Amino acid sequence: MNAKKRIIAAILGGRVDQIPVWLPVVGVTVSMMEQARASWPEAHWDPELMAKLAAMPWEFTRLPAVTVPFCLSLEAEALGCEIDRGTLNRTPSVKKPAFDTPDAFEHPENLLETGRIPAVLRALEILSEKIGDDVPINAKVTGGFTIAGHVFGVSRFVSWIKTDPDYAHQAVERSSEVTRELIGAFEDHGADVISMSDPTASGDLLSGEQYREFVLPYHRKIAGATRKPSVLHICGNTKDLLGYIRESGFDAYSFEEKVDVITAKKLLGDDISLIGNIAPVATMLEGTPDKVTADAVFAMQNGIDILSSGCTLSPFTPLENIRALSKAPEHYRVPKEPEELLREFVRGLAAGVEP
Amino acid sequence: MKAFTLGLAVGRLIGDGRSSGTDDQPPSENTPAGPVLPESEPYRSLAESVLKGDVAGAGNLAAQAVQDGVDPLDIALHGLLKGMDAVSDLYNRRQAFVPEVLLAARALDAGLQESGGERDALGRKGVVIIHTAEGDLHDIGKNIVAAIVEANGFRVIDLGTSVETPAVLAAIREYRPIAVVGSSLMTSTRGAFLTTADHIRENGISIPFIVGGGACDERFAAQRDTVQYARDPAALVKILNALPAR
Repeated sequence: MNAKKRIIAAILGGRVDQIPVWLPVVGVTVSMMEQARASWPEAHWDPELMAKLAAMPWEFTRLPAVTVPFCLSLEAEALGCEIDRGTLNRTPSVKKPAFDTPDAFEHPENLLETGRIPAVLRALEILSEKIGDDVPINAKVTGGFTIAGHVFGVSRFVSWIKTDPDYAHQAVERSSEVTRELIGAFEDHGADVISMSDPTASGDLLSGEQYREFVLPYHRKIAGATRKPSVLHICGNTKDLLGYIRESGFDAYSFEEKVDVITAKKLLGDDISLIGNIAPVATMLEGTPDKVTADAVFAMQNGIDILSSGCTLSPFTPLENIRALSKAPEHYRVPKEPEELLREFVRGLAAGVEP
Repeated sequence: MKAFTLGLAVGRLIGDGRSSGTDDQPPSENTPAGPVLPESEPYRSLAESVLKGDVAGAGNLAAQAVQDGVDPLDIALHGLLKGMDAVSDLYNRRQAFVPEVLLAARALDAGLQESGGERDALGRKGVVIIHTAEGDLHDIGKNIVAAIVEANGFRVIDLGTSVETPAVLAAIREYRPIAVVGSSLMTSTRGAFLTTADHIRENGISIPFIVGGGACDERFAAQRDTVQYARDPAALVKILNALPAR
């Protein structure tokens, strides 16, 4: 199996020859920028630089993780938010909200020609043509709940859940329409996988019930309209949300180390593939290659379907740790028989995870 | 799946308190920490209004209490803040979430405004300066931490997001805080805390600098001996409570 087949098979819950390593989030670092001579912030606006840099995890470390865009502010910028361009090591982010109320929300008719979106579409085409046979080209979009936080201001928008639930629904619905339009365009321009990050809809901010009421219906709509394999990424402690995420309709769910793999497996079952959950800071940034391997083997023993950093890699992540992650599946054989599977699961339990 | 409603938790809190009767005296300062609502009126209703996030109710009750001759400081300390304290406790136990904390903070504000209670007078345990790292524009975590720290009796000076070192130094000189708190969600911005910690020391200022947020951990904080890590608002409050008041 090549990396592309293996990753897509695993996202869809199919047979694999080894556990794939892949990131539904961004995995480029400052040393990759130096190597590619393509750096932030310019690479957020220039499609050639964007494609060159996005290919680096694969070309430089054999991590088959090729993702554009690199930030979560693409949609907010297109909707009129003031943006901080970021720096060499910091992604662009939203400086000021664009609207006061959902009534004021304007979905641009020419959305696909707005802001950096044309650059991302072109970068997808370049990547698809250049390395699309070997690795899946991942298009990252932002979920409606997070976009709503950007365009209305997080505190104001999240307060509507209690004060004006209709406003909150309208805000997420309108924002989600932007996500849906973008997904369709990304699919048409060469994306093999759609990964939607919705970090503001985290269990660190919302209860399970609030996720069910204000997020799940819109996640279901988006997952239902997505033609390519789809991944949902929400970081933070999402244990209270998992029972609902199971119903979201996404093919895979990507999570961080605040959720252990055994709990995720228990609550998500086989309905949705598990991607994660190597700590991006404590292990990928600050750990050693041996720690990366140990954490990766532990996650595989416990039933992770795709090995990944639990969230976007720090731009300072050492390359040797990324290479260790890429090679980690060599230290683990995919169990074939049910007895073997059970043994692996028990070994994971015995290693000290609290279910 | 653990199903939870804030209503249930609030109901439980309110129910527990009522069963123990009422008296006419303000609750003692020795009231144990945690979600214990005051028993006597009007403090109980004031606290409940904040706990429920009833912005109009908190304002009206506070205005009424002032008319009835209750000291604005008692309205705040023994009523409104007790409600905020209860919300903080529920948040720490993952039984209330960000929308509830934001709304409770708004109800607290409305109550304070109507009672004429000066916010500054509430900071009986000292001043805490809070900010996000230079380059970091995420404010929701900082806002929640600010609300919870304030509910625990500190005066919070919120410098906002993406705060540069000179602004932190200027605020330290102006407000003489007992601690500086910094939040960073991006590993590319957390390094600013070390710069700020170095400048604080170079300026001859001795003050704890407590950092938190997804990009920080103990290992990061250990790079400077004046920097400590708090994994959540409850841990932060514990550190702050152990500091000598200024």
